[in-house]
This record gives sequence, C-alpha cells and structure tokens, in this order.
Amino acid sequence: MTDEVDDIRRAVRRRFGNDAEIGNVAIPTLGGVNRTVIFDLTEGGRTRRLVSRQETYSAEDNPFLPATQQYKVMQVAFDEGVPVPEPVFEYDAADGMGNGFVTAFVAGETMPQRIFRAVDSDARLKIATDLAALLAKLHAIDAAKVPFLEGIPDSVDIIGNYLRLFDSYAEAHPAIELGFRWLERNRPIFGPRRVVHGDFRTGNFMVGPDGVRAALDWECAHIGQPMEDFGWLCVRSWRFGQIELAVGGFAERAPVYAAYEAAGGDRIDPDVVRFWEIFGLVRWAIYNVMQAYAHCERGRRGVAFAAMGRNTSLVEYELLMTLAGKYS
Amino acid sequence: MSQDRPSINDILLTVQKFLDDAGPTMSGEAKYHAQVSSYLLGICERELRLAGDYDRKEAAQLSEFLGSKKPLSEMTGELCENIRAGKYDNDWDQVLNMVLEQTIDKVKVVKPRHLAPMHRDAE
Repeated sequence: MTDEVDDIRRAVRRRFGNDAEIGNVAIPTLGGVNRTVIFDLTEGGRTRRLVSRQETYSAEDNPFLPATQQYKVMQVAFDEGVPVPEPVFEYDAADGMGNGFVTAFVAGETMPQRIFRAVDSDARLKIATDLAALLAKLHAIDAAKVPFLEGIPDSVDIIGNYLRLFDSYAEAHPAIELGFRWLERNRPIFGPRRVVHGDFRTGNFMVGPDGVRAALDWECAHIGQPMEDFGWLCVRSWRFGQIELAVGGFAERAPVYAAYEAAGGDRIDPDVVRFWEIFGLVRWAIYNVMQAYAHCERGRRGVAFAAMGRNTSLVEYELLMTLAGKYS
Repeated sequence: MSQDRPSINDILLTVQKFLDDAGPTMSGEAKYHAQVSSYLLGICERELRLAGDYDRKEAAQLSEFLGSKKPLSEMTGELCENIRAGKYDNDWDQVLNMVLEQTIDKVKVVKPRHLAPMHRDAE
C-alpha cells in the first residue's frame, strides 16, 4: 500500500518491526513551515496516538533550533517532569525524511479563542498558575544537561542576535529602533542563566479540562534569563483580545508571579518582566519583518506571509504604546 | 489616463466582497487564505485612499524634526541611525511621540480597529 504517509510507515517499521501499523491519519492544515502528521501506531499489541513533525523550510538563515536539538531538549524536559509530549523517536538519515521526530499526541486545545470560550474565570486562573508551575520546573533544570544549547546565538546574546537578524533585512523601522534603544538603556542586572523555552505563549501549549497538559513548539529553546519566558507570555499580541489579563489572556500578573515563586521559581521583579516583554514586542515585530523578507526576497510567498509583513505596524504600535506607558 | 468606471477602490471593494462571500463556503487552508486575501485587499483600498496624505504629513514632520529636506525613505533611514546612535536620548518623549503618530497612520491603513479608541478616527 502506498499513500501520503508511506514514508512515515517505513520509518515506524524500521523501529517497531514489520507488523507495526499506522492508521487514523490526520494532517492539520495550518502546519506552517513544518509537515505535521498525526496517526495511530499499533505495535506489540498496543495502540498509541503519535505526532510526526518534519522540517520543510531549512534556509541557512532559519533562526530555529535544529530538530535534533529540539528533540533532545524535549527529552530532558520530559525526564525532569515538565509537561511535554513524550518523545518517541527521531528520524535519521536512513529514513530519508530530513530532520524531524515523533512524539506522543497530547489531546486538548491550543487555539486561544477556543480555550477562552471553553473555560470560566476559575479555570483560567488554574491554567495561568499551571503555566507558572511549568516554567518553575523548566527553569530549575540543570543547564549542563543540554550543553549543546550554550553555543546557539540566542544563548550567547539574544538581544544582540535579534538586532543582527533585524539588520540583515536592511529595512528602516524607527519603532523597532526605539525598542532596541530602550532595551540598551534599561537593561536590568541579569541573574543566573537557565533553560528557557523561548516561545512560551498562548497557542503553544495544550490545554485540557484539567489544565495545562503540555508545552509545545520547542524550536526557540535556549539558555537565558528565565524572565524572558514570562515577558514573552505577557506580550499583548498573545492575549488574543483579553487585554486586561496580561498573562497570556488568562490571568493578571500578581497571582501568576506568586504561583511561580510558590512552585520554587526565583522571586519575580515586575520591572524585569516588563523589560523582557518589551524585548518580546521587538522580537515579534522583527519576526513579522522576517516573514515579509521571505515573501519578497526568498520566494517563500503566500497571502499569510504578505499579511504578516504588513502586520509589523500593529506590533510596532503596541510596542510604542507600551514604551509610552499607555499599555501595560 | 482617463479610465472608465468603476474606480480602483471600487474594484478592490468588489473583489473583497466576493472573497468575504465565497470564503465561508471553502474549507481548511483555502478558507483561511480567502480571509487573509480579503484583509490584504482592505489594506490596498485604504492605502490608495490615505497614503498620499500620510506620506506628505510624515515627510513634512521628519523634515522639520531632522532639519533637512530629502526623500522620505532617506529621512526615515536617518531617523533610524540617529535613534540607534543615541542622539535623541535626551528628547526621548518627543521622538517617541512622533514615531507613535507615524505608526498610528500606518495602522490606519493596515487595520484601523487595532488602534486604541483614543487613536481611532470617528467612523
């Protein structure tokens, strides 16, 4: 039998034997730059639902963590008890499928508006405190367990790295310049460096009726300041309309910071979170510039990328309103 | 060139209406892309209508701020270089407010509803 998941079936049989079967295949439509396939694996008398992810965009300026390193970080996080989809196997050269890996499928919802509709205010607060506890656990991981992360540019100097990325697009954006200048002049004294998720925001974690089930999308993981994860989580764009609930649209800041500290995290200085939130706005604006660049210069064209290019100004507006003290 | 009716803005709004009507009958990625396409046409329609005024206003503002008269793109580049070099560190609020004002105009083209009520034009 040959079908659109023939390659995955071959890869699975290489590892689990020729009796292994895959079925109930689902292919999400909004996979972005990755090929994502969800399927049931039946082998050894049991059936598990799994997710396969493969990189399909691997330009040399791709700022994301290689799949093999993502897989290792998820493995360490899983072993340390951070809620994350259980790693199952990584594709290798013999699979001929490029870079990618297979993890357990975690049921639940990631779409912000669907989560917001499904939960009441108590459940929202539970989700937000789960997020805080998840981050406390992640930030407690010994960075020596993921030594390969030390070398990546985001670990060395994430702000400098984004400035370099921004400069590589050679576009004039006074708002982004103001953001960088503010960061330059308001840099707090940095504390101990930790393993950070790097893309911890509403939409990138799986939520069920019982709360947060898994942190997804580990392609921005690095070693850095733990408050970077909080700043990113609080970026206005990730509140998806729930603008008064600064923590991802789920809760106000104070109870979430308290939950982080109660779960063993370092004491949170709100000004440090604000610093990283402003960096988050700068970063998100640059990410939109990057999509326009890929659309205009690199032949990775499409209406969604074109729209993101123009949406840069929406993020710039939020950045400037935050710098002006009109948004918090 | 004297073109026949409808105007370019009318054509854009007409195609946008088609996409808004047809989008919901599509599924998956096509439905999403129809929505985004409609959004992009809305940007085009507003840009054609508003950009001339906004560009003139921005150029005049930058020219006064920088004390020089050059094409808009050169002045924007100069503003960026000066911000990075710290030339406005002592006039921070002034430069922040100017860039905010110019960004508000960009957003009025891209997605006017995104603005805080204090920055929205009366409808």
